[in-house]
Amino acid sequence: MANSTEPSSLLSHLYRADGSATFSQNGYTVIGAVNGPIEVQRRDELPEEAAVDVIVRPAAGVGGTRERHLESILQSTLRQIILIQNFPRTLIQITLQVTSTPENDTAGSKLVQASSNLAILPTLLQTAVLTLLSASMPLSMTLTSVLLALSTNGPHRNIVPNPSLTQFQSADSVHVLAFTSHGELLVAESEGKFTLEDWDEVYETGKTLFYNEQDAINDDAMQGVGLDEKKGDMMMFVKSILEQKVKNDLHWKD
Amino acid sequence: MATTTFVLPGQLLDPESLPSHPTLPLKLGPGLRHIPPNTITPTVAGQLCTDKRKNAVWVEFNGGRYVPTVGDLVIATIQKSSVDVYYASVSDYTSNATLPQLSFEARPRRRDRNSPLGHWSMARRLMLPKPAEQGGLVILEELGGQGVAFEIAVGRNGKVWVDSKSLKVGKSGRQYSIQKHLQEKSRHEYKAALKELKQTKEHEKKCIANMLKAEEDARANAVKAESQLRMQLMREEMRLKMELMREESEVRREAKRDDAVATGASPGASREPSRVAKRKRDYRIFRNNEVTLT
Repeated sequence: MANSTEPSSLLSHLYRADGSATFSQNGYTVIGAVNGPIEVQRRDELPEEAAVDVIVRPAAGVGGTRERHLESILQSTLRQIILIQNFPRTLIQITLQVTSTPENDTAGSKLVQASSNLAILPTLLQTAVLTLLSASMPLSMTLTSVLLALSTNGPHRNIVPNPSLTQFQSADSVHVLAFTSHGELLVAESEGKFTLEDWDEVYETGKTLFYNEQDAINDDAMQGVGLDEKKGDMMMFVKSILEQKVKNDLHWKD
Repeated sequence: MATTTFVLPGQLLDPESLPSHPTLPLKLGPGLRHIPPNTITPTVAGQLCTDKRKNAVWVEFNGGRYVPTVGDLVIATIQKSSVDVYYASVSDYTSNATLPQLSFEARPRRRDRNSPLGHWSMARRLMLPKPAEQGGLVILEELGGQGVAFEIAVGRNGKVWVDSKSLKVGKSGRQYSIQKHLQEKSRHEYKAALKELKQTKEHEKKCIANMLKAEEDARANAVKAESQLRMQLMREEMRLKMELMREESEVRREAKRDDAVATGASPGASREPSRVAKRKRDYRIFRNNEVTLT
């Protein structure tokens, strides 16, 4: 299966879950399901808000420390966008199952563990958001995220959004940024060797990608080498997918 | 009068899209939230709908799970009754709602009652002489196809209540026929699959039973044959023994006679022992054979 940078998704295909979505991009495919607000265990219940529980299951083997790390990032992110104040003493349970990764596509029949945590994080975030939207879970805002790989040759920085597997492995550092629909940074995870100035430029690139969707496509706004409007694409993608879903749901009105 | 715009959660709404009214305050329906002082944003993805007459705005969406909210009109099923209160089930996953019995004038029916949570008033029911295009609900199409008049009520909790006065079956039978029809279509395939499964299971059982019986028979026959063989051998043994004994006793009798005759013919004496010896030999051979057999 060729790694396509074009994202694709499927909404509400699991009929027993309150909301579900499958999302694939760059060779990563994740199936997400959400149930909630549902009954919570006494020990987990919070008096003023809903408890958010995220479970990440890898493509190969059982979940280990890496999955727990991803779950903790996702949990602290998602509880900021879900309106948990509306449902005190309940549980919102999100399950994310990774079904394919680019490493597994190239490894043949043997299932391979991923080498890095971060590569799959944007896909997980995007799947979780689409799942919540499919369930009509009240949210305060939507979220889009991007993976950026940074390689420095001397003074020149090369930032590649949505890198392929080889670009990812040859980069000096990789960064995951997630912006809300209001333009605020919500997730910033980085791995590798980089300076603070490097990170600043990565942030600017991410923000530019995001704002390219809000404003008209402007050549002056593009910096770096060979940038596409990947972030803008993501926001537009989410919008078009949801618009299609709403149109199908409300066909009875016509 | 509704205008439609697609909205996403957290999206800033164009003030133009919100209705305004000289006297009525703006009413927010499901899917919107108000952040004081001036912000109104959607919380779900859907179509923004407005009603100028009532000065109301809401988001139309197809949700996953019903969350009980005050002011919703729902259809509840009476589960049990206590002294002064009915316990009505609004959805499978929420606890029962309580309905005071005094809020009903006449004795209510056992099944489906319309009542909103938090307000004890009856909901409107829609009377339809013939169904309009109802997409996807088989029972309504069926009733409509036969030109039957029926009532339908839809609750926000996703439950639909259908009743028809003109179906010519008894009261409980009416409900039964509706129920049966609804279930029939969906269970038809299920039943067929079940039947097939049962048939294959029966066939399997029969084969196993046959196998076991054959095994049993074979075993019984083997045992019978063995016992018969044994009986035969025993009979042979008895016969030979008897003959041997007879010969021996004859020889003894002859020996006694010969003694009485005194100095009888010696060849005669030697003849009898040889006859006895032959019998003994036969018997010994037989026993040896038998030993090798068993």
